[in-house]
This record gives sequence, C-alpha cells and structure tokens, in this order.
Amino acid sequence: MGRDAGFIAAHAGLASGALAVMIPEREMTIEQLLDRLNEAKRHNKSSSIVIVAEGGKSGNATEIAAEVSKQMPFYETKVTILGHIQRGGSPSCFDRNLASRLGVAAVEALLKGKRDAMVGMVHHKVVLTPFEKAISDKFRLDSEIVRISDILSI
Amino acid sequence: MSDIKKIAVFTSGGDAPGMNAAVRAVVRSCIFNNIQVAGIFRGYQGLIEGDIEELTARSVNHILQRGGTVLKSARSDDFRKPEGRAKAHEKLKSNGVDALVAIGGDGTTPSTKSGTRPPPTAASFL
Repeated sequence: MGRDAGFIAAHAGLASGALAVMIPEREMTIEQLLDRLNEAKRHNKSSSIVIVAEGGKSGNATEIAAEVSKQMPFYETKVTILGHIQRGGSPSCFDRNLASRLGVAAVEALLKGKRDAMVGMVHHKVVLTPFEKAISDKFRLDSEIVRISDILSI
Repeated sequence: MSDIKKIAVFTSGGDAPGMNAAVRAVVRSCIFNNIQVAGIFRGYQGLIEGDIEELTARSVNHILQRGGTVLKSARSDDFRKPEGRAKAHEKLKSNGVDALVAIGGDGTTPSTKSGTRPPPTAASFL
C-alpha cells in the first residue's frame, strides 16, 4: 500500500514510534536512512522500526532491509509486509464511528436531492465533495504528522 | 424532499475496516427514513450480473464490529466497458433502484461521464 500517497505509512510510523518513514511525498535515500540508523545507534537505541510505503523510490521493504543488513551486519533485520492482513482487520472505535456517520450522511444527502458526490470529513464535520473534484484533487499528507514523527524518533 | 423510493448500497475495491459499519449505517438510515434498501453483492461486477437482494434492518445485525464486507467486493473489468455500464444501468432500473451509495476508495468513484447518466450516487469513501 502507499503507491501514490504515504499517509497510511506516515500515520503508522507515528503510531509505532518508527525511526523513519519512507514515503512518496518525502524521498529518503538509502544513505539518508543509514545515517539515521547510525545516529540511532549512537544514541543507544536498541531497535528501530522503518516504515516503507509501496511508492517510495528507494526500493521496497525487502530490498531496503537487504541493503541495511549488508551495510550494518550487526543489525538483525526483519521484514513484515502489511497488506490485506491490515485491511481485513476488525474496525476500531474510530473506524466504526467514522463509517456510521458517513453511511447515514450518504443516505440523507440523497434524500435531500444531492447527487454525484463523495461523503467525507473535513475538520470533524461531514462534507460533500463533487466526484469531479474528489478524483482530481490530490490528497496532501499533513506534514505535521511526519514532523512530529521525526521529533519523537530520536 | 426527493422522489427516491429505493437505494442500493455496495462495496468495491480493496476492503477496509469499517466497511460493514458503513453498510449498516446506510441500511438502517434508509429504513429509518421509510425507503427501501437493497444490497448489491460483489461490487460493480455483481451489479452487472444482477446479484441484488432486498435488505431489512435485521439483515445487518452484528456486523458493526466485523472486518471485511458482508456485501463482498470485486474488481470489474466489465464495468470499464460501455456495454458493462449499460447492463448495470439496466439492472438498477429493473430492480427499481433510484439511487446508489458506493462504499470504497478512489477506484470506486462512479463514472459521471459514462454516456448513460447514472442514478443519483453518494459515495462513502473509507
């Protein structure tokens, strides 16, 4: 996942306390990653999580892990590929409430005569976005998530 | 007010936690508003094949907490073709469906430029 957008990877990185997130929106080279891993080692970090989105240009998770193993043989690298295991998981409280609100909003919008629109949330409020706009606008990652992740991963 | 008497709901594309909660919300809010609701199984492909079933408030019991989607999902190459979309439109008409709620990601967005004007559609994107 994360072929075009790294927001799931960025959120997963923050939630898991990852050392680095490699996402399409912010390229990180292998050299930059190795620098961060070395720095983490200097700060006595005992383990490091690296989240790799599918669309990153530095290679996939397996390739990156192989390169890290080669350059830093004292690290044991392990790779976990999340895919449908995650997508088919049980909904959290947040998921259930979001989906419940969107489902009711979709029906109420239709009954009010609105059509051809995506139901979504903006600033915690239900908002309708016309399909034309919904598919043409690119979702931008909130850089705050990556910034906080960087601060907390030292 | 609208003249919508029946809404159909379906899920499409890769599944996401919360799809069932959205299906439940659509079904129950239709019943709450005294309109009929139908479930389309297997996304656009099921729509083309007429895999459609009337639902009640009880059809969506105990799915709020479950992952996946009880309506199932599919990828449909047929829906990319005009003939497939015409067939889908026909199935909606023969089943008396006035409006659609699509639950899915960006690949689920109903084509509004598809020649045959689709029925009113609202999509919940998860």
